[in-house]
Order: sequence, then C-alpha cells, then structure tokens
Amino acid sequence: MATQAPVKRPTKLGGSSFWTTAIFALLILIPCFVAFSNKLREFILLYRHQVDGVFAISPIVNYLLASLGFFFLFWWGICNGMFTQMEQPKRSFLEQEWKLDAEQARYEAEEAHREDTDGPSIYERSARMK
Amino acid sequence: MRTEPTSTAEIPRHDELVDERLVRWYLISAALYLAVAMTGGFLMGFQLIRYNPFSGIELLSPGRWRMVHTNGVAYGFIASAFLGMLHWVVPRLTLRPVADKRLSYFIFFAWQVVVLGTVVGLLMGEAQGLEWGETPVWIDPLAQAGLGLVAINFMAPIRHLKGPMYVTLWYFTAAFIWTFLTYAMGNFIPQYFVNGTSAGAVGGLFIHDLVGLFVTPLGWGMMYYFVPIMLKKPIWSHGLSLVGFWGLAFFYPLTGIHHFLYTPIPMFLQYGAVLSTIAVEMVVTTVVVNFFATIKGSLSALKDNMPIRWFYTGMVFYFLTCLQCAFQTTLTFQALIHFSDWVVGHAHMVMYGVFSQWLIGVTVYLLPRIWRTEWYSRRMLEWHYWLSVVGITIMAFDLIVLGLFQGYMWASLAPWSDVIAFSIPWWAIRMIAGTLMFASHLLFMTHMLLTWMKAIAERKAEAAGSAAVAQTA
Amino acid sequence: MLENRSGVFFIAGLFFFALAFVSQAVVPILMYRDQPELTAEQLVNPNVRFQFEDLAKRFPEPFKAAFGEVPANPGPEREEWLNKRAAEALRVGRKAYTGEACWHCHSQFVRPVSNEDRRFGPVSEAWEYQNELQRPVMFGTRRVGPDLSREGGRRSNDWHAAHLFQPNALISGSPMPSYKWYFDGSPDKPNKKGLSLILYLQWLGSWLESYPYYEDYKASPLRLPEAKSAAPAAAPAAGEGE
Repeated sequence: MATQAPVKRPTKLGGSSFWTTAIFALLILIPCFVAFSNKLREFILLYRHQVDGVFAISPIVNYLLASLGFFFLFWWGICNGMFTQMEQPKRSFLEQEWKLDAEQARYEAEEAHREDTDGPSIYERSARMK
Repeated sequence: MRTEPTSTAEIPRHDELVDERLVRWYLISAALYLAVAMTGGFLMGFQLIRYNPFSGIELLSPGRWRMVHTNGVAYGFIASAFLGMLHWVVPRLTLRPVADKRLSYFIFFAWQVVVLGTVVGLLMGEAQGLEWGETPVWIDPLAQAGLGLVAINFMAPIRHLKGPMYVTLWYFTAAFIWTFLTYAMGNFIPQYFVNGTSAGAVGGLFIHDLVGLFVTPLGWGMMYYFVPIMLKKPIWSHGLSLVGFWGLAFFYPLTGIHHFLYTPIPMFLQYGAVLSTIAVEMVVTTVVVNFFATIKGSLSALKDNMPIRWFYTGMVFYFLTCLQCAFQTTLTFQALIHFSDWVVGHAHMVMYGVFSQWLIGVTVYLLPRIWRTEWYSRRMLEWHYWLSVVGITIMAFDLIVLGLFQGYMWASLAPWSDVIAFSIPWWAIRMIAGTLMFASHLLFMTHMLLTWMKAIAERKAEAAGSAAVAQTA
Repeated sequence: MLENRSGVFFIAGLFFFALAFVSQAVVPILMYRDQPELTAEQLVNPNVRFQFEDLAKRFPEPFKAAFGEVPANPGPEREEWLNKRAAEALRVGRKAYTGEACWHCHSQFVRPVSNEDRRFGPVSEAWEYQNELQRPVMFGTRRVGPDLSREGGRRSNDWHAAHLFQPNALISGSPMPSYKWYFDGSPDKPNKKGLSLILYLQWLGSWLESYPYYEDYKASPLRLPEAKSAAPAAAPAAGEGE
C-alpha cells in the first residue's frame, strides 16, 4: 500500500455533523435499548418459569460472552497502538487511483503518438494483453 | 512498493496490473447469464398465472427453470460479475497483478463449465435438495475447487500488503475465505455427513451465508471502492466502515437459522438467530449512514453520473430490505409471513434491487472504460435504469403486500384454492413488473452490443486516420 | 494485527465463521446424534406397503413394467420382494420430487403457529426427519401449494395419478404444472418415476398414528411411540390392506 502518502490530521466533527451524528445515534440507540431490555426481561421470566427455560437464555449468555471477548480484543488493539491512523487508507487509496489513471493515460498517449507510423494501435495491443 | 522495470513512474502501469480482456469477458458472460436466469423466472411467472405455453414439455418444466433462475442469478450472473470486478479492483488496490494469468483464464473457463453444467443438470432433473445449492452433486467438487483457486489467485497480491488496509480489501479478504467455507459447508455437510433436522440447520446457515458472506462483503467492498472514485472524494469515515465490517463479520454468520423458524430445530438456537439478525440491521445502518454522508454535497452526481445513481438506488433498497429483515425475522412476524410471497419479494429486493443494481452500475462504469469509448446512447441508459427500478419496486411491494394477505388467509383457515384465487391478480402484476425488468435487461444487452460496435468503428477510423497521417508525412 | 490482512483473515474469516458454525450447526448435530438415520428399507412401514400394493393393483401393467411381477404366493419371499421394491421406489420418488423442485412450492413441516396443526395435522417433530429420504432435508421455505408432510393417505393413488397428470382437472384454478412426462400418455399409465413419486407422496406422514385420513382405509396397526424403532420389524406382519 502507498504508505508514503502524507498522514493527515484526523478531522474533527464540525457543529452540524456532530448534531446529525448525535441525533442519529439517539434515534437508533434508544429504541434498540428499550427493545433489547424488554426482550431480556422476557427471557429472564421464561428462564424462571420453565423447567428447560435455561435453553432460552443460553444464546444471550453466549452472545454476551462472545461480544465481550471481541470488545476486549479491540480494547487491547487500541491500547497496543492500533487504529491510530484509521482514516489514512481512504486517502492514500484515492491518490493511488489517480496516479494509476494518470500514468496509464500518459502511457497511452505516448504509445499512440509513437505508433502513428506503423504497427497496431494501443487499443489492439491492450486487447491482446501480454 | 514494487517498481516495474517497464514503468517509468513510481507505480506499475494499469495495463500491466489489470487483464482488461478478462474483465470484459466476465462482465459480458454475466449479462448473458442474467438473461438466461430471467428467462427461468419468466417461465415460472407464466405458470403461476396459469398460462404456461410450454405445459407438458419436460425440459421446460417451470419447477426446473425456477432452480435455473436462482442458481443462474447466484452463480452465473452475480459470481461472474463479481469475478470480473475483482480482476479490476484487486490488482489496482494492491498494485500487484493476480497470482497467475493462466490461472485466471483457467478459472474463467472452469466457471463456465460449472454454470453450464448446473443449468444442464437442473434441466435434466438432477437437482440437489438444497436451496440456493441445487447444483447437481457431481458439479459441487469442481465448483469448490474453482472457489479455492479464486481465493488463491486473489489472495496472492493481498498477501504482500503491509500495514493498515483499505476497507475494500478487508471485505474481499474475508469474502474469499468465507465463500469457500460456506460453499463447502452447505453443499457437502447436509449431503454426506448429517441429515434431518441438523441438516436443516446447516441448510439455513448456507442460504444465509451465501448472501451474507459471499454476496454482501463483495458487494460492499465494491461500493467502498467505486463510490469514492466516482465522487472524487474519500469515504466519509473509514473508522465507521470498519465498524460495519466487524459487525458484519461477527453477527452475519450467526443468523442462518432464521430461515427455519418454528421448525423442529431447537428453539433456543432460533432465538439466537433472531437476535443476531436484528443486530445485523444496526450494523447495516452504520454502513448506509457512511455512504449517505459521503454523497452529501455531491447530490448532483445522482443525476449526472449513471453508476452513482445505480449504486445509491441499490443502497436505498439495501436499507429497506435490512429494515424489513429486522422485522420479519421476529417470531411474531414469522408466524404470519413465513412461506408466503413476502419472502419472495424480500429475496428479489435483495438480489435484484441491491446487488444486481450495483453490479449493473459497475458494468456501466467499466465497459466503456475498457472499450475506450462512451456509451452509445444516454437515453438508452436512462431507459434501462428506469425500467429496471420501476420494475423491481412494483415487484417487491406487490409481493410483500400479497405475502401479508396470504399469511392472514392461511391463518384464518380459508380453503387453499381461495388463497390461490386471491393471489393470481397479484401474480399477474408481478409478471408485468418482471417483464419490465426483463425488457430493461434486454435493452441493456442491445446497448452493450451497439456500444461495442461503436468502439470497433472508432478504432477503425482511428487506424485509418493515423494511416492517412503516415502517408502524408 | 487487527488492522492488517492476517487479522481479517484469521479473526473475521476463520474464527467468526467457526464460531457461527459451532453455535448454529454443531449444536443441533450433537443434540440429534443419538437418533440414528433410518434407511429407505427401514422406512417401509405397513402404510407404505399398503399403498405400494394398491399401486400394483390399480396400475398392473405399468407396475409390472416398472418393478416386475409381484410374487403370487403369500410368504416371506413375497414380503421381501415388496419391501425391497417399495424402498427402491421411495428413493426414485424422492429423486423426482427433488429434481422437479416440488419442495420449492410445497413445504414439509407443520409449524405450531398460524393454525397449521388444524389445517395440516400434527406439528412436526425432529425425529421425523432422521432418515435417508431427508438427506438433504426437505423443509422448504415457500408454500404456493399446501404443506405435504402429512399428505400420505389423504387421497387415493388414482387421485394422485390424475392430479400429477393434469392438476387443474381435479382442482380448478390450480397453478401447479402438469407432469405428463411421468406417464406414458394417459393418467392410468404412470411410468416408474410416476409410480415412485406417488408412493413417495403417500409415504409422507405414513409414520404417524393419524395417517389414515383416507376414508377407505382401515385403522393403521402402527403403534407409537415404539413404532418409531419397530416400524421395519412390523412391516412384514401387516400391510395386506385387502
């Protein structure tokens, strides 16, 4: 990957996008939280009132444990210096794309000019491929 | 970074990285397979409205063509188009060509054998009893080997990368291994190792993993690559896209059993699948928000830029299907709508409304670039877009609403024939919508042909022009 | 590690897939591992045998062409011959059922919701699917037509033959395709695949006590729940539906 691309300062959330984010987050999180706690309560009731109700709660426990493990893995990753340049690949990849296109265009123009006199055009050659 | 001896600049040249002929072949064969698959859907549609002109002909049996329809879409159209796209994207992102060009061509021909073998096998009545995996059992090993080779071929350039990767490559890397594993799991385990209810669980996992771990990661990876390029600005938040990736990776595989709610599969497993399906919807929201935040400020691209329009239409449908999914996966909804046309509407909205639209968008972007020309006619592009979007919208909403009616009628113990009689007008509307979609695709294929002829004519003119220049010189 | 290719490959690609596979597939596999998979031979119960012999009587010529002459004298030889041919027919019938994608329009499980037990019969249970003919399982995900898991015994073999030949002749307005290639020209001449498909349909639900919905049929001698394991042993004793 083009690692030599200049690392830019991480952008801060501006006023309007901060509020958009906050409103979206609340819109999504509050109903999710309500629904989730409601279901959890249902499961716990089921667990208490049925003989094999323990099966109903086992996926929840499994998922909580697995998500928790995953969360700690990420925490560990951040503490170990990962995700410090999280936004960088999105810029370096675009720059690289533009370079590729510019280079190809330059090459094709050059070839077309050079082969004005003889031989197949660049299109025919690129269709044949090496 | 590797420096090519033939290249004068600091990066390798595009035509040394990308085999454009292969990309072109894949995209064109994908379009052809889509036409075949749509023919299958067309035949089944005729049967449902009780007008089947080919009734009684074994090789045109609507049931068999229904399987050609789904498998043709999954393995013929979507897989081929993805392979073409990968041959373009992966080398450009990694600045390295694929492992071996001969291998690429071998995979291309092997995959045609797989798809054509599947079609022939299905029409001969050799189907395997697995939804989305009806490929006859004797094709499975070849397809499996093909997928393994695909993974090797594309992982080779990715293997050399160091440091943080762009999100597209995250999705692709995971998708290669997932597709291989999913195919192996779905096609071999229920056939040779387990049976009955356990096989049902594996089958459910397979149906969903095929969408969630093969089509979805490749599709989103593709969007993360093409959208910034076409909008000429980076994605809004790379961090958020990684949340989307890890959320998908974690929750999506856990959702499989939601296809078989209320089956004899243990209830606690069904609860788990329901839960993770709802979690997937939240993940999807982050991804969709990311893309809409990216296009903010460049909304005019939706009007001027055809591929962008295809992409964002697909994203709107994606959000709708996933929202629908979060509801329909709950046990309350399932009791009503399972087995009904609601599910069929949902499936069409995902496969056609989302992934096909994205792949068509990519085709619209790549083919003229490869042919070094413009599309023959802007108006044909517009017609293609509008016919297909209007078609899928009508079809999806018609079937989803019909599904609700069917569910209530079944629960009310209405005679079965009443439900059928009620459904027929809706199926007729669906047939009209399907005709629009089919027409849009035929129009697109005609347009491809015209553009290709235009490209040839332009090259000839150019050659003549340069010859004239040479003579006068 | 989490940001580069190996993290994605191993954690997302392999580990999460394995996690899902264990929790969603291995768990049910382990739960049902004590229920052995029955072979088609073991599935030939008295009800299936009744239908098979009924097919032999109703369609003598096609039956002879497909499966050969039924031994005339009652005795173990005849029993063995019939059981063997019936098992073969079940396999052929299942292949036709899969090949025609019947299972994409007819499910094979009855849910405990939406009044399905009142429409179709008893709610499905896991043990019903532990057999060779459910490999891969035929649950299905769509019902254009009704569920078939309790179809066996509800209608006569004649009905099934006529219905497969031309569905809308019996059920007006039926959108089911006709399967004329399972017959040699007319509904009274089913070929081997046709006979087998009819037997497969009559097999569905034949393992249940509530099998004989069909009015001409006398009460099944099957006993449940022992019948689950004892079905093959009981087969030679009964099935003479005359």
